[in-house]
Amino acid sequence: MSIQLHQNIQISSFVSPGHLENNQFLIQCEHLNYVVSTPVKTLIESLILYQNSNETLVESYFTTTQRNASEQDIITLARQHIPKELFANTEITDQRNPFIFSMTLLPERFLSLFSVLLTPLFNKWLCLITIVTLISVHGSLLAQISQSATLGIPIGSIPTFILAMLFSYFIHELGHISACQRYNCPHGSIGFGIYLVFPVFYADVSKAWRLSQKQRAVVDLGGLYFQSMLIIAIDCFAYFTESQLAYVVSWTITFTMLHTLNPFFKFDGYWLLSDLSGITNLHDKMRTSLLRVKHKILHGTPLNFREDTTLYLLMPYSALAMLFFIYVATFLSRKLWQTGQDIASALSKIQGDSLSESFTLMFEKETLLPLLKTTMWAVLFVLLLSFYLKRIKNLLVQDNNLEAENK
Amino acid sequence: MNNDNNELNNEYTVEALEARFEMEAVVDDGGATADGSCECKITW
Repeated sequence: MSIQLHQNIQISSFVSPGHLENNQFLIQCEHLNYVVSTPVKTLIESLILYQNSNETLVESYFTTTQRNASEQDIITLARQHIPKELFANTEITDQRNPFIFSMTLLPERFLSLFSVLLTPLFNKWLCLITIVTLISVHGSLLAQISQSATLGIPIGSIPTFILAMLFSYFIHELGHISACQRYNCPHGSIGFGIYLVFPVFYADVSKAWRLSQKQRAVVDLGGLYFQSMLIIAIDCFAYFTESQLAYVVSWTITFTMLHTLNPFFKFDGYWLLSDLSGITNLHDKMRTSLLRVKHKILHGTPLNFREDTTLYLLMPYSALAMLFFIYVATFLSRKLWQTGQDIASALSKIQGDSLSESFTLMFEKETLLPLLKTTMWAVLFVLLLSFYLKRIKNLLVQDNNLEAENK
Repeated sequence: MNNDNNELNNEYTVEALEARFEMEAVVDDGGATADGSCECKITW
């Protein structure tokens, strides 16, 4: 056979904005996902038919496309338009992920034991009851919860606090996984990683691309939904036992839930916005839309809102994202300056002729640990700041492809 | 118009979709204060 695709390619329809007619298709092969137009889809179908039947390539192509073409033309078209990773002679590389570091904590097989049992929780009446209960219980206790949070917890309660938070993260990720299972969509593992500079827990739901926009939104909200149930239980426990620790846990979970709705990083808010709007690869498209604005300003290239209606969302999103990144960069710069002053102040307290004397003196005066802590924060702020500056640079950097496209 | 539609339908387009990792960052409130102000920080 002169041309062959991987055997496990799956094709399904894909709805995206700007394509009211159903002429977009999802091609899935292991962890790879592509949205393709009808001609690419039929080309792939003709190759699959060719592999699985006794027809020649020319016959298979005619069967699926109703067009005549020579074998060489079909091969050329396939090489030109089908992603090379789908060809059998190309080894599928490991899944690309957004993490600097990542490790699987709970594998797919283990999770499927739980996720199957939890799917009944995605009942619309139960969802409604949970939301109403969350608003009434958490809302009525919020003042007390926030007041308790200012008091903090004793050192002895810290291990329990950490365990409670780890359980909360696990419940959150299990919510995403169970939502996938609810729609009979295969799911991946739960793990821990470093995203940009954030330590994160994650659930791999890459196969969820095959679901409808609404179902994907449910997967996105599954984590918050499960955490809502947890927070109701914690609030009730805190109320009846007057547990300071429970109030602090409730407050911290509330904060993480709000934090994950941030749409500018790839947290739940990002995926929710992407799925509700139907705009895929939101970050890439944000970069492209910013470049379009730049070309509009510099060269007068029209933005064509009528042709590309996604710009109505992408433009304000991109502008807000830029403002957000600039705000955070400014905030980090201020913190870095302040931390630098703290270090200078701590160092000025060092007395003694030798380094060892200085360290002994600092240890005795209990200034060594605060200095180390301040230095650690300084390093962290430098890392954060460098990331943000790089991020802003990437948004503004010249894109050669778009440059060529606009000329 | 029909020709335009045909042309559009005949376009060979491919978009690779990004991997979906639903993430929740490990953060805390950084110590909320009574006046409602707070300072965010990361818990390592």
